[in-house]
Amino acid sequence: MPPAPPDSLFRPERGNTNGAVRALVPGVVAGAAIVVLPKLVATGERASKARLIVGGAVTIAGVAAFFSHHPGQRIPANAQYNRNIRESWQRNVAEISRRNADRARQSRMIIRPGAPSLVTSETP
Amino acid sequence: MKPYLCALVACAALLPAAARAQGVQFTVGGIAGQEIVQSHIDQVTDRFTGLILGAEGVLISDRLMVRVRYGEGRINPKSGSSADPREVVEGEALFGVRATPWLSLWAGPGARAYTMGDTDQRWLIWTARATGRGTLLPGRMQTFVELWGAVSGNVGNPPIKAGGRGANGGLEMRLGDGNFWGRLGYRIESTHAPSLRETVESLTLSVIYGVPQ
Repeated sequence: MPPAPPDSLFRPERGNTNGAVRALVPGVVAGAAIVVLPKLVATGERASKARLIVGGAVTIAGVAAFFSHHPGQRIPANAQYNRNIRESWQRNVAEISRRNADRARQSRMIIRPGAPSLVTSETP
Repeated sequence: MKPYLCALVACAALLPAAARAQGVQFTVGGIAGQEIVQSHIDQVTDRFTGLILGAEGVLISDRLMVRVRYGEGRINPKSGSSADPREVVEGEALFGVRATPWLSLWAGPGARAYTMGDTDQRWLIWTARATGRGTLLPGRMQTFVELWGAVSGNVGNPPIKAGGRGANGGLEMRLGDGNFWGRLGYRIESTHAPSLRETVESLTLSVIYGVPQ
């Protein structure tokens, strides 16, 4: 029988929350830093709105990266992929079982008598 | 074609192969930026804006890095100002070390020169910098923030002592499946000397060949 597919072949069926947070944090921290830093670097100056554009874009990108990890949600594509692997393995098992059963059914035991021989206690 | 231009094209063509042969990674990129300058001379303040075009390159060998950037353009005074337009040339050459996978430390000079009619104003600032990087989507999207402070500096001729600090940050995104990346960046630097102060902000778009680091 073919061995069951190893775990490493399967894809996660639910989004990874830790990975999502790891993607979110740099985006939000960098976005906030870009918005705030001009106040510290150029005290007393009137900073332009350019920092809001870039800081906002970085923050939005971080949030988008967070959701791209589907934190805690079912991932239908991965579930379908895993189901295909399992079904393929089950089909292989069924097919091999069927072939083995056929082979067992078709096999015959033929006993051919050989030349008679005399066996005694003196025979080595 | 002039000989020096031929040499430049030959170097540009051969550099990638030579760098790879030495185990050195590199990035090169073009930059376009809208610059906003607030200039204070004594009690007079002028605001300028203009387009700066430039190029940058980074060589990365294991943990050591070299970064150069050059840009030039013209900035015009905002309406209502009597100041003259300025031709701007700026650049930096930095040596860096990757302290951790996400933190790099840099040091080196940054220069900025204005030409205003017949006069020049040149700022030369030696800086120490720290750059932090974060990955949003591995191999596709990353962010960075850099902070710097002046170690020493001067402006003008005869030179007078100058100082300053600055920051830049932004978002880098891989363009398609190739080796090109796009960067949306924001940079601010504030340099000062007795009776002078310049605050320069830039909103930049860059296209970079190679993984930015």
